[in-house]
Amino acid sequence: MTIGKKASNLTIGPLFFNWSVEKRRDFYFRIADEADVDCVYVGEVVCSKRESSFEDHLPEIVDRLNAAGKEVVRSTLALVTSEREMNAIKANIGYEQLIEANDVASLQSLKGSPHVIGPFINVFNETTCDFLVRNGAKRIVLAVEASAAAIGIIAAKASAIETEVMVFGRQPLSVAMRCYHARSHGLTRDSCQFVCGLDADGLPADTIDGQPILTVNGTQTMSHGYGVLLNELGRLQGMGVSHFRLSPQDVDMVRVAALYRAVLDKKSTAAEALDKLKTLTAEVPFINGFIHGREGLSWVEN
Amino acid sequence: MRIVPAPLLQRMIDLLMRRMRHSHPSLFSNLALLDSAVICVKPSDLPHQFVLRFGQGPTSLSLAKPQNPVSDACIKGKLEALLNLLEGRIDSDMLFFSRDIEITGDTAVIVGLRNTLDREEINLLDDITAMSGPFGGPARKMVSILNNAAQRINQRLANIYEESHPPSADWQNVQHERDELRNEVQALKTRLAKFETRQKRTEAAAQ
Amino acid sequence: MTSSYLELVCPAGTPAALRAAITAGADTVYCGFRDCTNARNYPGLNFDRKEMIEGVAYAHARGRQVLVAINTFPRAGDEEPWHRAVDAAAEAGADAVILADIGVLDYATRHHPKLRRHLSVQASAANPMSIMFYRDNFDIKRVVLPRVLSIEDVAALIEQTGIETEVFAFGSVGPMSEGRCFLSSYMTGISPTSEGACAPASHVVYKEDGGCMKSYLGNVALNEFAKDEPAAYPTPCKGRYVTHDRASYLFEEPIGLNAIDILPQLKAAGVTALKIEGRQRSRAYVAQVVGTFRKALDDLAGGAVSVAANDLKSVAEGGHETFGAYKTGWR
Repeated sequence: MTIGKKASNLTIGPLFFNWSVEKRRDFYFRIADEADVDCVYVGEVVCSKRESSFEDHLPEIVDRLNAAGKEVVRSTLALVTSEREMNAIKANIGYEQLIEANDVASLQSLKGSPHVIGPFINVFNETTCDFLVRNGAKRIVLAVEASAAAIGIIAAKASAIETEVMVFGRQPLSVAMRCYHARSHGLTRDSCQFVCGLDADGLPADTIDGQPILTVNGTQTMSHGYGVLLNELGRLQGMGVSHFRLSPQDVDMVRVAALYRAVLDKKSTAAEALDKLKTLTAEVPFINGFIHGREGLSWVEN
Repeated sequence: MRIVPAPLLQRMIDLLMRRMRHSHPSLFSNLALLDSAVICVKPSDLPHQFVLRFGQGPTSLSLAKPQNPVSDACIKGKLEALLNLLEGRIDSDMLFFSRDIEITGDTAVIVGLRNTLDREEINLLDDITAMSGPFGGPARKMVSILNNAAQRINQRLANIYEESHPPSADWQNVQHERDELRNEVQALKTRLAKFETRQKRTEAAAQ
Repeated sequence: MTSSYLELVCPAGTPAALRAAITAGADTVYCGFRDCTNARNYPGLNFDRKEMIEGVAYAHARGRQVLVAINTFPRAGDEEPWHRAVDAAAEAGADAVILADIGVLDYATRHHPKLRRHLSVQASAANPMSIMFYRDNFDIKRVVLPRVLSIEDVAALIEQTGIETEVFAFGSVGPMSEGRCFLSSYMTGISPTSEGACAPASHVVYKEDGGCMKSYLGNVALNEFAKDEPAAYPTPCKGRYVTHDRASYLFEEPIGLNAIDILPQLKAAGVTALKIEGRQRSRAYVAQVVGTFRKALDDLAGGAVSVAANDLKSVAEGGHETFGAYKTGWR
């Protein structure tokens, strides 16, 4: 277990995409068996309609990950509105697993028990951070929009709390009630046919000028580029950030994890890792603007 | 307006600006709070263009001499629309949605000006009526022409709305039919989308 | 908390708009300070401290209320402006503050326990559990509900929490969960959540291109309008994007929310107050929309079956209207 460990922990964030049951299971089994990561987040964050299809397979995934010595955290929905979704949240909290809260809805029930604050709950400043720590939060995953300055200030409270920053993957930019994936097919969320399952790495949305700009994933909107904070890893470690999140994409995540692990352990330079990462990610550009206080879609050379 | 020679128009503008500095001092102090900017105002139905300067330094409005003066931003529209905007009688976003005004260049400059003008309850007729000297008479005449024009534009907008919403039974039938057709098209679209999705899945499975 | 009276809550971006709203029949006016502490931080807009004091006095003299929106999220290491804004709202005698950030709520609860607190739509509290969290920790008296709920959702939520609710009756259709949308900062580098400006004017450019008007946010081409085609706000969620080789309004069309024809249903759901959006709009808009809703509410209170003629289409975004999420099928 990684609790209290001050080293740099590598984590696999919750899978945002609607992969088939088989693909999902293969992915987590391979992460359990082959990936040098400390912690894995499982569970549906984007759309409650997807939950039933893989809920049955979750226990065997969790067991496999636990057996491999990984900390397992149960992620929860980012936007909760229906009675059914609220009940699902309450049911999750009943288990002994560590929970990642992504909607304030979870916080009341989690009061007093250790939990993770996910990136969909706004923690932008120290007072908010202090309050959530008093409520029981042990780790805070910062929003993708957070700048290095903000991360530094919140991570400086590292004695009281663990901080996690997403360092790989398409950046989540918004959540909604409406399903844009369905809408793009002329369907609605209620009649969706699970079209989000057709795009394992999300549906590209370009500007009217043909510039790739966004990725649609059900009710979620993400960046087109992969957020890649390899150049910034050393600086984040220096600030006291304790957890580094890789968000699953439809690429070889085991090798991605190995590249990040090597840079965190100073066994490889960021430049070397970037070159190797490009061979794994095809044509998808890299972005890192938010952490530099710039447009999220930009790439800032260090 | 076409008959007003440029030098005379400039003198009238100068007098009006002087008058407004007296009647709306806070407008000018608020304009001075904005970043320095030059805006080109282009009434599409006038042969003249105007240059408005504000921000650090005194605010000024002058006739543009060259055809395309250097500016941070331009605002273009019928004089009536522009005057209604100045007096806060019509919502500028509405004029923008309906494309009655168009803006180009630095949008922040226009938004700052719009918001600053909107803080002030301006009645041009009052200001012009208060103008004295040799231009008072012609200016008042001009404003009353403009005021009538402003009433016309409001009336026109109201008419457009009524024309598109006649209360007749026929029209209601047409609307009803349109809604039904819309629903039917949507239902067909949904069926088609479902079909396409199934097709895609089958293709993917076959691979 | 079902009340027979529907409170009309109206926007004021300037003192002139505050006076216009009150003249047109607003029960309550909401406004913000002239800085990044409110979600409509646009040039030339909002109130300085003196204007806020005068505005509150003007409203109170006429038996109306003023709410102060301090509804952005403070940046780490720079929370002072938000705390000072809460102090200033209390000092001006505001009837309540509208807050979103947990840290600011915590500050206000500890330093101004008697100042009434409302939960802003920016807090994205779309379910009873979230609302109870805010109520139990910060004693919020009212929640402004996100625009993603149906009337049935609203009714259920009121029944379960018993809290005062304020719902949007006129304004934009917000397809995204508010307060946690990073699309605008993705394109501009300026955060709507902490700097209070979605699609800041400084990053918006319109270009004329052979009769067409093209809008850009940062370097991103958002939209293109043929001559006389209704224009949309230059926000990322109202842009056209290409999916499956086809350009479309992927998120939402340029259309305004107008709930004037479903006021009886909102009232039956137990809603306390109706919110008119538009602090960034002009006072002409405020006067027209508030006046129309005032009449509709008076007719409703007087037992009229159908409400006043709805002639607000021209001021609605894009010149079109919708019931938004209130009616099923929007999703």
